[in-house]
Amino acid sequence: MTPLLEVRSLSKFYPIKRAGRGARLHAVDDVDLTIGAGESVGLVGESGCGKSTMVRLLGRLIDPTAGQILLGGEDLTAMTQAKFASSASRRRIQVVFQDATESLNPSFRAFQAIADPLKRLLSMNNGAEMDRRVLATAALVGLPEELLQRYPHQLSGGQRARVGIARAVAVEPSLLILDEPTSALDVSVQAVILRLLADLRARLAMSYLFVSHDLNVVRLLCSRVVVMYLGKIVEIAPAETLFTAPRHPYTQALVAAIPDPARRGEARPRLDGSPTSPIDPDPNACRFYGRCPKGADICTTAMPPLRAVGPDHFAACHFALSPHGGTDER
Amino acid sequence: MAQLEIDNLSVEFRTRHGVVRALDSVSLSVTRGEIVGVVGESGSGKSVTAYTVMGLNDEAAQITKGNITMGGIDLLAARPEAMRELRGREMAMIFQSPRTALNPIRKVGKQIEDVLMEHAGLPSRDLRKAAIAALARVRIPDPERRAEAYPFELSGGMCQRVMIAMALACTPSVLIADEPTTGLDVTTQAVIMDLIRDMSRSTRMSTLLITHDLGLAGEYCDRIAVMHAGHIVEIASTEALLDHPAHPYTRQLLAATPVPESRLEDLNSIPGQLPDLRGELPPCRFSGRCERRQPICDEAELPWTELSPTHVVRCRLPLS
Repeated sequence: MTPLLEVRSLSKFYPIKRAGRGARLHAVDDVDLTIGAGESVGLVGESGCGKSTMVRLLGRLIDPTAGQILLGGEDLTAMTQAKFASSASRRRIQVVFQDATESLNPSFRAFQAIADPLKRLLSMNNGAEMDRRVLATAALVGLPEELLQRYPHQLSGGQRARVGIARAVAVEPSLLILDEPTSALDVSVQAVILRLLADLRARLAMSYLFVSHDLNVVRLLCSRVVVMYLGKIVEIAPAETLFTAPRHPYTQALVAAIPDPARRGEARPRLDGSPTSPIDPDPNACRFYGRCPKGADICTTAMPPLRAVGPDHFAACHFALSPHGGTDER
Repeated sequence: MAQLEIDNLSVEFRTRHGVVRALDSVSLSVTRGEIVGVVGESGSGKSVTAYTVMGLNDEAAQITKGNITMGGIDLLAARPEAMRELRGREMAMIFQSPRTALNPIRKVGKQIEDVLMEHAGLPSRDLRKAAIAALARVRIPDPERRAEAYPFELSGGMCQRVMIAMALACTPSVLIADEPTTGLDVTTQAVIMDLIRDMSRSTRMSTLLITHDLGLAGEYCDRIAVMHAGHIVEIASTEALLDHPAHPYTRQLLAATPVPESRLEDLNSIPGQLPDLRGELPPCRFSGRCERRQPICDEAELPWTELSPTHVVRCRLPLS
């Protein structure tokens, strides 16, 4: 697959003054990632793992501390975020934000919400062409025309979600970043929106980065899944492999925590405690050490790199090379 | 007799825009040590049920009929002071968002001490020790230090454990958990739910788990009640409900809930919306969305059908 997006050694550190001079919070730390054209990649991990920072970095809403983001070969990090916002490339990456109730402008009617990016990014001016484009986009996401004159509060949750999606796809991006797009919806509506997203990806030939804490939903929509823990990618695998044969102990705990009536009453490994501090973490220790059931001496002296453990399958753990968790020869 | 009995309960809200019939003839019981799930979409009446049991409903709420008893005590006839005595000691509630339910400007250890002083009648010299023990019971690491923290200094999962510690401090006989893990990470959710289950078992506490997540209810509950538009439409043992749903709504809800084996093509969405709960409502409030609707469904007095001693459904044409 030709890579659409290439992320090289991407980092975002935030200075934390009260933690001392020069102290920095490692929100995203030296991450490499590719997304193929037309591919749908899931991003999972617990709160504080760097998911949201990744969304903001890849959406080019903030500038990275270091590293590169290449889209179709073009280095987007060569210009600052402020320059990027008014550049021709801005339309190529769009974001669907969590909870459309919060992210839509309450004083914009649905029509204006969809027209706004067309005006700003494609310099369209309230003409017949813009009207046509708004109507076509609304039709694409299944939003009836008569709802376009309504304000967000006059729409149902599912309709608001459609407006949020329409606004993002109106400018025909090549990469769509979806940040928990269905977490505010009831299950009765969730299925329609998920199917709509799958359908849109095929029709508009977009790539997806799908961020969600609902692993069952990620499994439905993504062919490959990336797991983050404290700013680092700890595992990347094809979706089925990740859920059936995870190699990293953190992924194993994550998968074991998915509620499953079929495994009722079964004792499963639980992940207790809190992650270690993300402020200047030890560069020579595994970030998961301390919570990890497999933690050993080597984990405190060497940060495990992301290594191939199977076809298209990478894990960052000293004990991930064999499926049963035996250590590798060192 | 069950520890908690809700019998034929109806609740209305008087609003400027008319009377909202939020609960209609709801009956549900929880025996000692049992975990019963109440599952449904937003607006189905799950939280109103919880708040009515706790006597915490808004002033606009009117209980138009029915009874609620706890350990034989008539909760709806109890005076406000008596209810205040019962809440915290005999019955406790875990709220959905721990950060807004906790006092933001009081140390969490002190907040637990407040509950113990009010309801357990402990002498003040024992309060601190008891509060730390309560924090340790919900497996908060380093409880002595955490007792000194304000809510904003703790993570969401940690705040939720503090609230559970507070709810369980006086070993209540009834626990109402209203979406206790919504917004928490799935790994934290598993730890919190294990904790609630273990507490229910070890202290024979009756637990009502309110959740929108059928998968979660399926893993932790002994029985599940499904609500739709202010009605309970089906109550069954968890196995029976998941394997042989009898109400069309339950079946559709199950088909809409993603599970590990789901495929996108098979995932169901439920057409239509909840009916407006103001004004005239049909006997079956699901009939407007139901694909199996027949003329008989519009006949008054929708009956309960008993499929087995542990499985009842409120539908004229239950699935077999």
